[in-house]
Amino acid sequence: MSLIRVQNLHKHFSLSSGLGKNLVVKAVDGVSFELEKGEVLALVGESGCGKSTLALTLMHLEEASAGQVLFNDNDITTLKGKALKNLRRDIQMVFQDPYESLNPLMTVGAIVEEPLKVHGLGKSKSARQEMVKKALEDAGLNPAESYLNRRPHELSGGQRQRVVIAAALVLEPSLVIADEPVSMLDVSIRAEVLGVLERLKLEHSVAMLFITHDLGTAAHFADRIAVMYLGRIVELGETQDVLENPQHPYTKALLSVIPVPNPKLRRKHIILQGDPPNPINIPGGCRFHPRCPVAIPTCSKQEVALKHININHKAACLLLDHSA
Amino acid sequence: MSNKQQANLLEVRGLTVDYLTEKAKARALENVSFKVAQGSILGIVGESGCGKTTLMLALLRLLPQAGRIVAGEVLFNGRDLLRLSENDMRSLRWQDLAIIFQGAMNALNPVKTVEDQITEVLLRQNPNKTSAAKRVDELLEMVGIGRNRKGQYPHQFSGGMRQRAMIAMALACNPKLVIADEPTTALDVMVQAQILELLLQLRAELDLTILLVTHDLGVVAEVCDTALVMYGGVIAEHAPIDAIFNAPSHPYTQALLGAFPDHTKPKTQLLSIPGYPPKLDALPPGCRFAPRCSQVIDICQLKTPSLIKVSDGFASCHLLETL
Ligand SMILES: Nc1ncnc2c1ncn2[C@@H]1O[C@H](COP(=O)(O)OP(=O)(O)OP(=O)(O)O)[C@@H](O)[C@H]1O
Ligand SMILES: Nc1ncnc2c1ncn2[C@@H]1O[C@H](COP(=O)(O)OP(=O)(O)OP(=O)(O)O)[C@@H](O)[C@H]1O
Ligand SMILES: [Mg+2]
Ligand SMILES: [Mg+2]
Repeated sequence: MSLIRVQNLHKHFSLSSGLGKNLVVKAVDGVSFELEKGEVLALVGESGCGKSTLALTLMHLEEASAGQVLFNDNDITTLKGKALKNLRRDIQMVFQDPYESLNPLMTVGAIVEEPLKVHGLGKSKSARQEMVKKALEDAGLNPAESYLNRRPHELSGGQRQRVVIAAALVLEPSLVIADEPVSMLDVSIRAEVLGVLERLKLEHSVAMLFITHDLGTAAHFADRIAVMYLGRIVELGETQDVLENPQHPYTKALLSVIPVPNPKLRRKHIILQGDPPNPINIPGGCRFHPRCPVAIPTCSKQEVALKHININHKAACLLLDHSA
Repeated sequence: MSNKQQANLLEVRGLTVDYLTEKAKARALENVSFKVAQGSILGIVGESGCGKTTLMLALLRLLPQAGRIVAGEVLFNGRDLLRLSENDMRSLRWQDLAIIFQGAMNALNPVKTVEDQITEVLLRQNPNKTSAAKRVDELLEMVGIGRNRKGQYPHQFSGGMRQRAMIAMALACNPKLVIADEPTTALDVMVQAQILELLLQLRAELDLTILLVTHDLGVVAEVCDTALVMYGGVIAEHAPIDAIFNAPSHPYTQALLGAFPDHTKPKTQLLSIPGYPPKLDALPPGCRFAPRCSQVIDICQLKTPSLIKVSDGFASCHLLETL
């Protein structure tokens, strides 16, 4: 049984254009995937492709427009009240910006204790303190005592992000959704925070949806990679498969432009011109066809679904059939 | 004569900068020296706060109020910029030297069209409106912005297009040296690739010399000829990129490379650098990297290493002196 199974999930926003016409932003437009216990799935794609919206919809912080999210086999898109609160304990989110997600007036101890209070966990103040200390230490803030009374401005960027992680961990979630958790951090500190997340996965079997636009980081950290384009997953597979044998022309382009720290490996870049198109106006047929360097006329007419390349690797491209 | 050795367009000697704050004086740059060959691209890397922006601003004498250049020379084509009158410096700044500031794409004036903003820069040099109008079209074409969009306002442009507009503005008066401080940091990888390709193409067409500040070692490997690795206000290493990436001399360069993700080597483990960069008002004695260095020896905590010649470049590390 998968920990989470997402089926044909949609999240559309309607915007009033001011001219009486209603525009629909199709931010998430038919996403399906599964995640096992203790597995890390990286979600990569350009700015605006719908990564954060997908995360918020999974957490039920945005209401799904259509589709299902089965968490431990229960559909969470319809949850309310106590059941929803329990879900919010089991799925935790870590955001990009450690400077914004911490209350500057609270001490580290109070910040990490807060979620326990919200969920009515821990029998006494001292029981909660023990849980807080354990979470801080699991997040790599050792010894925990020396951090309890500090405030966010007294911490470095990497330490702040670890406090955010500790506040998520203290509830012992089975799924952590991390939205660009390291992109604000310097490389030297990034490796350290990734190490903390890696330990969570290995020692606590926490599953993770790791949102990033940095395929390099995804490569080191994820078990599988999902590539998203304009509200859809266009390729999904095991990390090494996707990196070494990308199938979708979009994945190929994306991989070709990730800077590699090796001057001997200056490769040919497939540079897509223009900006990513707008989720208000999704092209017909394959949604990538207007930017696709290898599109054929049929691509503008025919929608494409994900097709298996092998048991663990899928991509949504018409041309796959021609080559296979 | 086939002289492949290009002359140095820029030579910095012993540049030292302080920031004066209410409480104290912080030394942001100490004895920084390097040369940049005409037509080359120098990458400047290092963790946040190591002095990259300070160095760029000091070269152009654009430091904020609190900043003071306390020693050094900045030789541009052999002339010391630090000795020029403020007037001479100002005209040089637009004609020969151009800077694209960190976060610049958000610094365009929101109430003026892109065309008007570029025109303004041009008219400052040459009051002929017809030639300015022609040049605006030329510049926009050079950076890949269609003429039909020149009358638009910055908010109608995407981040990548705003950055292109800033580059067009920087190139307006045919500079010889372009300083770009994190020009792609806030941009998507695909847009970053477009901008970097543009810089490479402009370098080839206009024989520009470029100083590119970035914290992305991948970007350095992709576009630069040489790299300057900074740590806590000093130069740790300065070498051609082949040496930087394949045979780094300084332990800090080695540590940075070990922490940097490379998607072509997904199986290698990323190694964090323990600890944090030094605070400028509490510098450790001796080598500034010593408290975090895995190869530290006794002398490192006592004596500041000086920048010495190593096989392919320069580095400041006691381990290299004893060799
Ligand atoms: N509340 C909202 N109302 C209307 N449109 C929205 C809303 N939230 C997001 N969008 C739009 O949905 C699209 C997807 O946005 P989202 O933030 O999910 O992208 P993302 O992939 O996380 O991008 P980034 O990498 O920049 O964080 C964008 O076009 C965005 O403008
Ligand atoms: N106006 C100022 N007054 C006092 N100190 C300053 C001032 N500007 C910068 N500093 C300090 O000087 C040091 C170098 O800052 P600088 O902005 O040059 O770093 P940087 O390498 O460009 O960092 P980043 O990668 O974050 O842009 C930092 O310690 C910073 O706090
Ligand atoms: Mg996002
Ligand atoms: Mg800077």
